[in-house]
Amino acid sequence: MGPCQKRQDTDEHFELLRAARDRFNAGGPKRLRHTLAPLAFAALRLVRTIKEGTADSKKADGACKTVLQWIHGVAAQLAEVPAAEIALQLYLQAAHAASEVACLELIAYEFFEQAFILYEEAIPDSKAEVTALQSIVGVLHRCRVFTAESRDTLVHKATGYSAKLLKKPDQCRAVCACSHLFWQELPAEEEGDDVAEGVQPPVRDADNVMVCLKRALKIANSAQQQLAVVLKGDHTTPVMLFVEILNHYLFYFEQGNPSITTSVLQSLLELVANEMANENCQKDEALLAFYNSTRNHIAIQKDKGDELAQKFSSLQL
Amino acid sequence: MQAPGKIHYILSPGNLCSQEVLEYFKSVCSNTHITKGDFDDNPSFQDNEVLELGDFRIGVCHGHQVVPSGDTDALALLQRRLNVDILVSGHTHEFMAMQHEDRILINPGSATGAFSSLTPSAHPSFVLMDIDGSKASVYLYNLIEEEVRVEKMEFTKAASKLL
Repeated sequence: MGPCQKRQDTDEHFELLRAARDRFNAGGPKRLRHTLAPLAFAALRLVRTIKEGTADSKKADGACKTVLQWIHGVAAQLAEVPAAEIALQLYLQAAHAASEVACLELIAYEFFEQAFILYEEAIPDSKAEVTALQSIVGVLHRCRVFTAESRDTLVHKATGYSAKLLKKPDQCRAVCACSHLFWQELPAEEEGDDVAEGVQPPVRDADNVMVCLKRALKIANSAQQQLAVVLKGDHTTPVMLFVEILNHYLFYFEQGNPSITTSVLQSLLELVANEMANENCQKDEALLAFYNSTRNHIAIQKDKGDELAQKFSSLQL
Repeated sequence: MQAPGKIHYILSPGNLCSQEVLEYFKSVCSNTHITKGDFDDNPSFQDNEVLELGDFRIGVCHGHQVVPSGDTDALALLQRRLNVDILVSGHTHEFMAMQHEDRILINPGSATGAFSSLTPSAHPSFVLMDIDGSKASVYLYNLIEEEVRVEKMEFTKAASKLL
């Protein structure tokens, strides 16, 4: 790929990709599921090359749009093969490129829309649903081009689907992941004032983070009840979920999320400690290890002697 | 390195993307621990793998499950959940090896320098790890502009406290 990129002739590069696709089209479905994805990735790389190498931003947008539309076609073709899972992943990759490289909100939204449609209509089983949703949430978290209304729709869809996964532990983990959709990372120091046009400030919605985490707790609770009714409550999986949720609370506490106050965290610590005191939990090595390393992590934070340590100092283990 | 028997285990966070790559790995070493990446469709790959080598518990996970992607604290959360001393993860194609609290996080990057929207200028990289009891020597291989650079890091597992 080296010499091709150095030529900077992105139009010709694009023509080559189109020619390759024409040939690959003759390969039939068994080959297409293997040949189309690399083409799409080559095109994604091209989008970045175009954006970075074209001084005229209007021209760059036009060229990026053309390539992204082509990628849309490739992903749609993959979905028809049928190779829904790969197509969904490609839509997400393209959404990310449209958002973060090309800063084209409508196109990025379209890609997410297609990903969700595939999720609803074509993802074969619960395991594949979990993977697809993990990817959707992971990519959506990193997209900064969406204005509030579009973003809300996508986030709402993602959280809704997360809470409807079949197995309660999957639901719980997915909802915890969704909490991050309300808490984006702050841009790196160097970006400063030179934020590109169309990039939105990072979302930092402390209240909705809390809503997600509380929902996760509710799911863990109901998982506990479900097992108590069916299997006489010997299972420690729900407690594993409580410890995991506690770890998410800690993540946000360290990040300075105002909804996670010391008293909120302390209550959860006590809840988890109570659960852990149960005989079955004490016999579960994996659970004990997770719980103890969580406590150890808190102890390490306390000892750091910095600003964060101050916050941790009032927590009682 | 490719002589038979030199490599005892292959740990790969995933996104092999094709059967041929898996077969290549198996030809180097039959003891492979590969987790499922977002572009893998091999049904035998799991989301997480944990194995014990020397005094170390080593976890492998692709990392597309971790939000925010590549975030140290989020990876550490997974590390605590799997209860592993060393977590090998991927997804970001950003090469990284660091000590975090009393454990180690490694991202071997992309062996082919494949494109990733997370790390636009990923270069080919991989990691060789030598485990001897409680000591792990990690050799970091990077191909940067046609030159192979090798760095070494060493970690010793402290005696466990609460575990």
